[in-house]
Amino acid sequence: MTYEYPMGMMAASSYVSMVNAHFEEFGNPTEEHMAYVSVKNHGNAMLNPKAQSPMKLTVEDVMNSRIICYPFKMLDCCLYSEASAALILAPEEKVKELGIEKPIWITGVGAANTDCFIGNREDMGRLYSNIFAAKAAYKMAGLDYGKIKQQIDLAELHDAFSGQEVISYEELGFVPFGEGGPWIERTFEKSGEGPWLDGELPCCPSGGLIGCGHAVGATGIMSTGEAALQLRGEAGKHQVKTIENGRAISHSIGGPGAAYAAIIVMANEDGVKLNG
Amino acid sequence: MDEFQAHEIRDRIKINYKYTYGGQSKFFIEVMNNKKLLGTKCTNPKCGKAWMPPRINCSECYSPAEWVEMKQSGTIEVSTIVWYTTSAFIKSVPYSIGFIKLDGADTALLQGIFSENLVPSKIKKGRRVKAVFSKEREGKMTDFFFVPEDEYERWIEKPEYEGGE
Repeated sequence: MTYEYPMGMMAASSYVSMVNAHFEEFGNPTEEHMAYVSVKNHGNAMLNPKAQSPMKLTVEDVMNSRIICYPFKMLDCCLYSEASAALILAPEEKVKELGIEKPIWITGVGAANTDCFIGNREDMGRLYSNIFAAKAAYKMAGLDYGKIKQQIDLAELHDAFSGQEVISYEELGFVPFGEGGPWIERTFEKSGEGPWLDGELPCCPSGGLIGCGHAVGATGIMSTGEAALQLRGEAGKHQVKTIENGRAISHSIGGPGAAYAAIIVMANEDGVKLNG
Repeated sequence: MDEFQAHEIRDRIKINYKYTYGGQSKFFIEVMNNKKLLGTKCTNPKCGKAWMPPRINCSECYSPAEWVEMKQSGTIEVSTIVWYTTSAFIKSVPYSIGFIKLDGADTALLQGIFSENLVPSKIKKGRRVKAVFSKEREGKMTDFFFVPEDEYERWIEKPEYEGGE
């Protein structure tokens, strides 16, 4: 309130600072890289009946949408939403006692904070909270940060702004630092006109926050629930093509300067495989 | 008899309140009265981190920090141009904000960056900027802003602004 609010610092300008700093360091994500995320997530939302913003877009549509906060355009930003989401959590004994079918097990949880003031951060182009939360969650689940892309089947990410999703690919260990932009370009083009439900690692098959709407506070629960449905093979039309490892992650961030991050790793019963 | 119908109109409740800057007050008083930018420096010799915006206690090692005058020139770390925002700021668009590391500071201050030609390349990382103050100051962050160093002389010649150093 004292130093940053009077300057007109809002959610978009706070995220864009991190994305611009990342661009300064690595030369990506470019505006096109961000547009790929927007087209992908709005497009995947076409198959999700609960999504608020299903749209069939082209990269040009995103590039030509009105500018919000350079270089974020309107279609790079999620819509704030009003919605609810719920998960039913139970201990292992209870699941067995009640004979619950197809439970999804939470096998790793990680949470971390970084400086709330972006100006305090030495590397403004990355969220260390994402890196530490991811490493902690993967470790608890017995997974490897460097090989995580091969060990999980999908990721529901916190794509409040398209550029942030690209940076998250790196922070969560899917690709090395600086390679998020080229990776989305490659995976986006492979799936042509979409939907983007297969490939090396499908991200935000539900449409994510950009496609579904961002019901602040309920969003992380929604993403976790969506990942759980995927692992059960019950996601419906936006079911990812392949469940090979029986594992997925959900990711959520929040707070001033997105300082807080949480990652959940989940798994279906004994790595059940499903092929669509 | 007609059914009772309550008529509603739009009205407005105005609330005047005071918001205290507490231990940070000195920064705003010095901006208002003396056009000085004060930061703080951690008193722990093993740390000594220089904070801008100031912190009363070091956020790194929690030792007390002392007031120090900062230079009014610095370097842009990252910036953006805002074209759409909430109702409180919508009248100002397009405006640029950026994180600026003042010479001698270890942290970056978020502040407005004004330019005669507001384009992304003018306010890129690494560009040198200098503080310009409004002549009428209230002790708020909006009392000053930064401009590219090569535009500084022209900005402080404008009737509503003046230089600090």
